[in-house]
Amino acid sequence: MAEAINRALAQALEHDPGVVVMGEDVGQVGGVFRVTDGLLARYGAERVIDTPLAESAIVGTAFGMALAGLRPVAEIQFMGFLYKALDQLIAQAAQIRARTWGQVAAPMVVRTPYGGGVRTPEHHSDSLEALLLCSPGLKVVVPSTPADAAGLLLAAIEDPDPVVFMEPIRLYRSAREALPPELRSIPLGPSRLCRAGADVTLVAWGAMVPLALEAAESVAAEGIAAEVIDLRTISPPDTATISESVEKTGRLVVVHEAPRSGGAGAEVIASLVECCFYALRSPPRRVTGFDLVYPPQLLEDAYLPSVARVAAALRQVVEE
Amino acid sequence: MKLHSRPRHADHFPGAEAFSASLASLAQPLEPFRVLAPDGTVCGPLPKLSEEQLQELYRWMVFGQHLDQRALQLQRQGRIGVWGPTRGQEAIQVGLGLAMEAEDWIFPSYREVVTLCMRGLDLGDLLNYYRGLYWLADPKRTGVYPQQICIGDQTLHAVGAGMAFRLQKRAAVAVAVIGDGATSEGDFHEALNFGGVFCAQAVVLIQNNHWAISRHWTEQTASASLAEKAMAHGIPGVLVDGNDPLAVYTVTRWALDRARSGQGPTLIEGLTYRLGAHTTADDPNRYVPPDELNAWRALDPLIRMRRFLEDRGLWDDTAETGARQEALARVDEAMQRAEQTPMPPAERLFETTLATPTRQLLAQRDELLTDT
Repeated sequence: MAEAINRALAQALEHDPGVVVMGEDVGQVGGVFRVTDGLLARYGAERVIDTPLAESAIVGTAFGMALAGLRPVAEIQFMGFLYKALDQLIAQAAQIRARTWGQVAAPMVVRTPYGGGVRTPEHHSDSLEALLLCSPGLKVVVPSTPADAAGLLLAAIEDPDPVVFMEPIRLYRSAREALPPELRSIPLGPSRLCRAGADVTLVAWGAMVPLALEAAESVAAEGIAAEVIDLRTISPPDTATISESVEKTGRLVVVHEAPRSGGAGAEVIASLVECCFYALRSPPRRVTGFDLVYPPQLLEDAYLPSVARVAAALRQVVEE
Repeated sequence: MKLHSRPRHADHFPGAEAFSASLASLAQPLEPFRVLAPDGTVCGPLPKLSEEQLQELYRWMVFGQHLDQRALQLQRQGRIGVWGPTRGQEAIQVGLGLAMEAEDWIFPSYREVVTLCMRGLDLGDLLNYYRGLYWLADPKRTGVYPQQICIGDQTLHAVGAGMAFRLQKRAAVAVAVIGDGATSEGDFHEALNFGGVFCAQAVVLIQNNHWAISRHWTEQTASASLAEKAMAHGIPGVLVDGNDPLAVYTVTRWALDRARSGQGPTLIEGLTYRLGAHTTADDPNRYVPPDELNAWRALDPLIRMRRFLEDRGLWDDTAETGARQEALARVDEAMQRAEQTPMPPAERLFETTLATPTRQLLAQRDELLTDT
């Protein structure tokens, strides 16, 4: 997936002279995950900008650049460090269109590696999408495959509004697939059906998608056919596709890494209950991170949703 | 006048002597740059401005004075919401307004209304903002971005725009204007740091009006000046008499030219005084020492500039009356226009949040229209 994102960035830099890539260590070293590897050599220090170390400034100056007509793609090195930039992101970039009656836009992307499972130190494993869902004027996108990562990132860069692009660290190296020479953008908004099934709808995003698929396979032998939907865009969520699926299956499980309370899963389930209450045959379930501070490396497996936990939830909603 | 009495406190640790010496060699002079003495006599190099420009500067100051006065009345009548008085801070606003070029941008706080009008912002649009609507004027047309409420955030926007101008090879400069309180914010320091590193075509102007609501600027920082904070970021910091419009014009013009020609950003501290309240929701009697207030009343920038013009035969009572009437007529006409603005329908809010409203937004808009 890291290579796919790298190619999408290169393509955007190539096609649009207004695109700039900026962030801590994105230039000379090519990013701590090598996602921006080689871009500095090809596009120069004016457009691939190694910034000083300050998250609020990265997002705040990217916003100023967007106002001036550039298309900045700013990187926050780990999502746990996004807290420092939330004011510039939420109070400034996301609100300028509304504050000017639609006259001013801030087309910019904030890319940020997120999520756990790779034994990173403290503060390096957070999933903060829920903080962004309640921020009008902002879009939030999470890919789960290399092709989606490239296509959705191109769409995020072309989007006239600010987009937070969350990159699952766990999939940077493990998710691999061949991509066409010319990458195409994939519209923000629509979810992706990963696996068809008639018994239960299983919604996931990012690193939880391969896990959900594995869980779906593991219960298939028991006669449970799970339909797996990759939400892809968390804000705004594609509730239309999910409700269509739930109308068919009557059952819903949502999986995410972030803590359960106030998580994006709550929003998905609430929307679904509002529109499909009478189609439901059992209470919807959430398989999520617990309401805990993200634990240290040796304990993180206990925190993260596992195939077993997802499979158990699938059995439970079918048996109830 | 003694501007500031805080002692430097760097003398109780090993190496303190050398440190103090190096600080002293770097320190900005505490005496601000000044062209006009408080009595209006010339005490510094006069900028090259025509008689008409000098009169124009003062006319804008009179406009600011009366806009402020009228706005306070309008607030008491319930015709506008909270107003941040600008009385006493006219000089700094007009000096900057005259120094900026048409292609320059300003990211203001809420106490530069005169500068904004000088930059071409429609006063009716501005008053509509205070009536309780969003920013109606298109910033792309005027170069005037909405007033910043989150303290100090706009420093980063100006630096970002100034980085973009440099990349785009545009001869434009982005100016952020902040108050003294904003210099305590992290964003302010991050902005000066980024600005210096990337040689941004930007200027950061501090209106040091002594008060961040109730906190005196000398209790906001242990620094002897706000301008010297530039030193840590490797950019020039200039202290200017903010009640002297000609000094402010000279310094801001210099900083704008410097940024425009690619030499990087400048931090300017304009020393002025908030003669009124923080806003109409504030009671400065609870914290402003009367002696200090009276001392600064005597330094009123309007008195200074008027005396300067009168000494040169460029102003008299008739001109003053004319300027006042012109200002009031302008404010009243703009307010009348503002109050006649058709109320934008609330459903428009759903259409201006994102370029394309989401399904959720459209459903909620319909909910508003159906349920109300």
